[in-house]
Amino acid sequence: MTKSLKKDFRREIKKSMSRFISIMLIVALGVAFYSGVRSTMPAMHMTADSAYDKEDLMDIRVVGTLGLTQADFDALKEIEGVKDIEGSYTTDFLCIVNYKEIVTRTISMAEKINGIKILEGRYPEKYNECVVSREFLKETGLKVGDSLTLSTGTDTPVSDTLVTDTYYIAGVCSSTYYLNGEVGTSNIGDGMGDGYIVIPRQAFVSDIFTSIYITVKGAKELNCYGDEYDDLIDSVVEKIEEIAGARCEIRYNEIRATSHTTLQKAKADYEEAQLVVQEEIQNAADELAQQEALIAQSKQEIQDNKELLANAETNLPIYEQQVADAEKQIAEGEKQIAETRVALEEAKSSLDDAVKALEEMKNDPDADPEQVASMTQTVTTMQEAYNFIQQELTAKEQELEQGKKDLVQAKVTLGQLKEAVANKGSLDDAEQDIMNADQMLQEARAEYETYKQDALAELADAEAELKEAERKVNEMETPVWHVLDRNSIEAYVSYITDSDSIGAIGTVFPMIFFFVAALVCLTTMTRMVEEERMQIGTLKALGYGKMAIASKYLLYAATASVIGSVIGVFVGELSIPPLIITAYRAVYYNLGDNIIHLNAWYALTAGLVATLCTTLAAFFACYYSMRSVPASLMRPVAPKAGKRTLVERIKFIWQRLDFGQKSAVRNLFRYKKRFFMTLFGVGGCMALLIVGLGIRDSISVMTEKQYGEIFNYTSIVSVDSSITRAERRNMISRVNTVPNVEGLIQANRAMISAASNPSAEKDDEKRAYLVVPADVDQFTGFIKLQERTGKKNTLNLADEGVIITEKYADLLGVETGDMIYLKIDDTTVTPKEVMVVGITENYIFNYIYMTPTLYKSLYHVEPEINVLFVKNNGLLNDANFKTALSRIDGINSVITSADELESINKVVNNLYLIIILMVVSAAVLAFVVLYNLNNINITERRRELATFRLIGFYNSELAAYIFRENIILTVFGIIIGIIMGIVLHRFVMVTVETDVYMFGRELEPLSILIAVILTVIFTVIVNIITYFSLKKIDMVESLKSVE
Amino acid sequence: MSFIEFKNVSKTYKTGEVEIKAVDNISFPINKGEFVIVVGPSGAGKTTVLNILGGMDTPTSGVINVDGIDIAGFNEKELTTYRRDDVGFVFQFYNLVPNLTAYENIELATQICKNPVDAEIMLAEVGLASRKDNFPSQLSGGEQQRISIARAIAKNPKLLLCDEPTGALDYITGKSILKLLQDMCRERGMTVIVITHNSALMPMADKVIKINDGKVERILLNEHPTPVEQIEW
Repeated sequence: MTKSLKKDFRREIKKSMSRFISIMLIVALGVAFYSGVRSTMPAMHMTADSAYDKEDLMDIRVVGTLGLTQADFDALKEIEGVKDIEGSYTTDFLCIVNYKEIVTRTISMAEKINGIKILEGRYPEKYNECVVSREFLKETGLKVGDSLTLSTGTDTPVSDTLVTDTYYIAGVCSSTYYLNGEVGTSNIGDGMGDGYIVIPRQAFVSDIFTSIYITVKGAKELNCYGDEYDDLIDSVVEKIEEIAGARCEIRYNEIRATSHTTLQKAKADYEEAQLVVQEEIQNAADELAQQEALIAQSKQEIQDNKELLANAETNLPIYEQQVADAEKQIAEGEKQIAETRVALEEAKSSLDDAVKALEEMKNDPDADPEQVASMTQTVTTMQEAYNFIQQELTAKEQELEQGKKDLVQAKVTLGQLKEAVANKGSLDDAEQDIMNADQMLQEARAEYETYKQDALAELADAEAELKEAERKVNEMETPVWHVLDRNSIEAYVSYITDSDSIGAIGTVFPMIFFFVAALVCLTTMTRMVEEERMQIGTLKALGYGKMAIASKYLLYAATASVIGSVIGVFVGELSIPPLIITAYRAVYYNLGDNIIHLNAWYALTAGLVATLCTTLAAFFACYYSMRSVPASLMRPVAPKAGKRTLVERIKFIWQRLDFGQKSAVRNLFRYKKRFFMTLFGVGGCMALLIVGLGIRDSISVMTEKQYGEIFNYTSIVSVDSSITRAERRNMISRVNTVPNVEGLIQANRAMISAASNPSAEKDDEKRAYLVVPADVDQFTGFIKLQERTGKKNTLNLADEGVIITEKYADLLGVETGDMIYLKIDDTTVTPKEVMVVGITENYIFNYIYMTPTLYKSLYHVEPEINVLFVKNNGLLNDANFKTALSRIDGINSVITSADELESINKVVNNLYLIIILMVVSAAVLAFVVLYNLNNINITERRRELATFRLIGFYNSELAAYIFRENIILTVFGIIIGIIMGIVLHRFVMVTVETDVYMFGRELEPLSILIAVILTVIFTVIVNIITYFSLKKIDMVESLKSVE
Repeated sequence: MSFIEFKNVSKTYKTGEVEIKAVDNISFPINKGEFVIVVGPSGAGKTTVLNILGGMDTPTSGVINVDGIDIAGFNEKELTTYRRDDVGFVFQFYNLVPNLTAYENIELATQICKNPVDAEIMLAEVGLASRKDNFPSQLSGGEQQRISIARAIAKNPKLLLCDEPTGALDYITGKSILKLLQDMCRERGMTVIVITHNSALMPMADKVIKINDGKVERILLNEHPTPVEQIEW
């Protein structure tokens, strides 16, 4: 390049600053977007790695299916490459606060590995102190300084595991092990851990470690997301696995001895329980019999009384008559006695007279002896008569006496009879009483029967359990060690997934910007070269070489691109990663400080690609001019020839078009670059908007469908599974009386894992809730099972196999008819094989639905009822309803759909940032492309437009002429954009999905409409700006000069 | 009063501190149906006169009466309407819309004005009926200029303004174009104003206005204008 060319180059830039800046800006935009989003993934990794290193997160975790001993610990310590090693205890407990059951992971405090950060308060110092996680505080509402009490939720006492069950909260902590605060699944409560607490090691009773944590020498220095780190860890894992077999054998022998003892004891307990139950049943039966006898006796008495009463009623008149007669007789008798007495008196006086006379006669010597004898005779006779009367009187008196006595007797009897008749009413009462007693007896008998049945059934359950336990002990296999790396930490993995999805987004979207940058550069440079035709010709004529001339344009594009790239790299890499990491911090809030470095690789690739794109575009722009001979270059540029288009062959349509419409149609085909650029600009804008709005659709569809269509219950009630049947029956009848309860169904719900093959690696196992309803027929009223696609067939639970949810089927890679292998927990050695008989629509969490019959055939026990699905006919979020349920005995916790909805919304809220990002970039894209296009369009066609004005077109008519093309192009762009948007939306949704969510796949027509409207608004705004530059066209200048 | 009346028209351009008087107090009349040639050296101000008369520019001061109406005070919209209905333009560089055929380029004008001449008739009149469906790039310069004239006249304007209509054409073609203009003036009774620096053309005009240094130097009247065929230059 000669000095004068250099001068020309510098002045060119100065002169066409706006053009230079426009190339620079679009390059900066593309580079910023690309390098920013791409470097987010490494930045996320660095940030997390540094946080992990700060807390000495474990590299390897060893768990044994039967726990780990001190001897295991010592053996592991000797392994080469082990830096630090620490045994740890972890147990899940329940902490019940305000009728709320908090599943609390209780962890022994570590000294060297898996450190915690104290956010408030201090470390626990005494055996009865703890620090708690923020989630725990939030769930319980407790504060530092409060105390908490743990329980097991089963018969096993806390003291089997811990020294005490009450802890003083000394502080609040966070841990990078639980990066997102989620504790994960639990085998107690509702199956999901709610928070964790950390207590000193001495608070644990056991000497069997739950797991042993290991850090590896040299691992801390490495980036834990790199291959080098993986290799290092793998080498140590291999060494641990080498000794695992021998260690497990030892453990097996140990545990076999103890478990036999335990089993023996369990058997004894069972037998004792059996005796007790039988005795209780016998006692109840005896008592029942006794009661029965008593009632029989009472009944007999009543029967007797009844007979007596009947007698009395018959005899009463007879007795009355008798008494009357007797009274009469007595009166008669008395009268006779009186008469006899008179006769007796008379006889006496006659006798006395006779005696006197006799005496006189005797004394009278003159008495005729005959006379005396006769007198004596008379006296004797009279005496005899008197005596006779006397006797008669005595006899009568005796008779009267007897009669009186009899009368008294008869009166008594009569009185009794009268009384008896009068007491008829009370006899009825007595009868009623006895009938009641009988009724009660019947009830007691029914109660007894139920009790007997329950007791026997429970006994049978216990027996089955015992048998199962026995079977387990007999079938007990040698324990297995799982040697796990960090990929066994849920939050660790989900963080990787999230950073990967950002990475994936980073590969696709910036491409649109690069494309557009290249197109903008191509059109701009073409324009520039065309403008400078004459100059190129002149330089050629002067003898400058092709390269010397072309270098100006190439350099122009390259300079703009390099400056743009540098700006883009700094802006993008320094602003986008912190923005996204900050958004993710809403979920991974235990992340440390942002570690943002300029990522040289992405900076260079982005810059290089962008510069190459634009320079190449510049090269193509000047390629033809360079090849032309100077003479043709000196001539004014021949306007691009008009061409006939296909539409013109259809005379019918063509003749109806006015010149403006005709011109518009031809122009579309004439300026192909412009056509494609608009297509990309508008289409890209549309696509970005659709993706942005579509994310919102997919999320809202997810929650709406899940809680509106699929889950028809309103709350899940977790119940104490250890309560008796009677208690449960009682509880359920109480639940049914809670206002607004419409129905409920009992079920077993447990978190399990499954894989698509029996010997799957831990990573390939996926978690899901296993739900076994007690009543299969009613179940469909609570959870709707139906296919999402196709004919949307309703699915029914069947004993042949399980129905699984759609996302779960995806995760496992199975279809209807395939087998899956269920593992209850990490200690399951042989997974259970079941067939998938249906795949049902579902969006949130994964579920496996199974009939109780199938469950029993798989696990040999009845499914334990641990949840109720309750439907209420009132509001979704009814606090009173929840409280009423919570207070019922036997209910541990109540989770309403509204609660679940709230927690899900929290998680998905950070996706809204992506939506904003999309809309903003869509707007930027639309503005940059359309503005640029319109500008070029107007400058290129300045003459033509000036002619229109000259002829007398009003500004509005002129605008209509120019905008008609823009409108047609925008319409094309929108159509292409809709297609691009739908494809891109699908891609994004699948990419950002996590294992537990399935976002809606469909777009709402409304979103497409909004995207169209926004695109139209962007276009209109750009066109309004264009309108003003249209008005500024100077007719005179443009018409007279040759360009 | 004449059909067109320029009265004390001045136009001053201001570039920074410097004031340039492009047109300085010009006055002249033009009658209906006259063929007028405005002649002068480059930079004399003749194009400014044409711009002002054509409604493409407004004067700084003065009055321009066209058919009884003063267009000096017109706003932009009124000026556009004036151009649309009353003025036809012909330029050195034809200014055809490259994307429209000859016929469609004439339509461009006929579709917006009140009283147009049929495009087909205009094509026939300029002798290019057979090139109806050709695009400008398929036509020679002279043919393009004929189309341009046809487009200007098809509007049935009150006056036809031509700025160096032969500037980009060879001698013979230029002559034929001038003939066409002269014929249009005679046959249609149209007022035609041609701007040129070629003073050899002066004899063909009814009136010649000589402009120099922004002022009217002389106004010549030809009682008997020479037909263009007889002029040689």
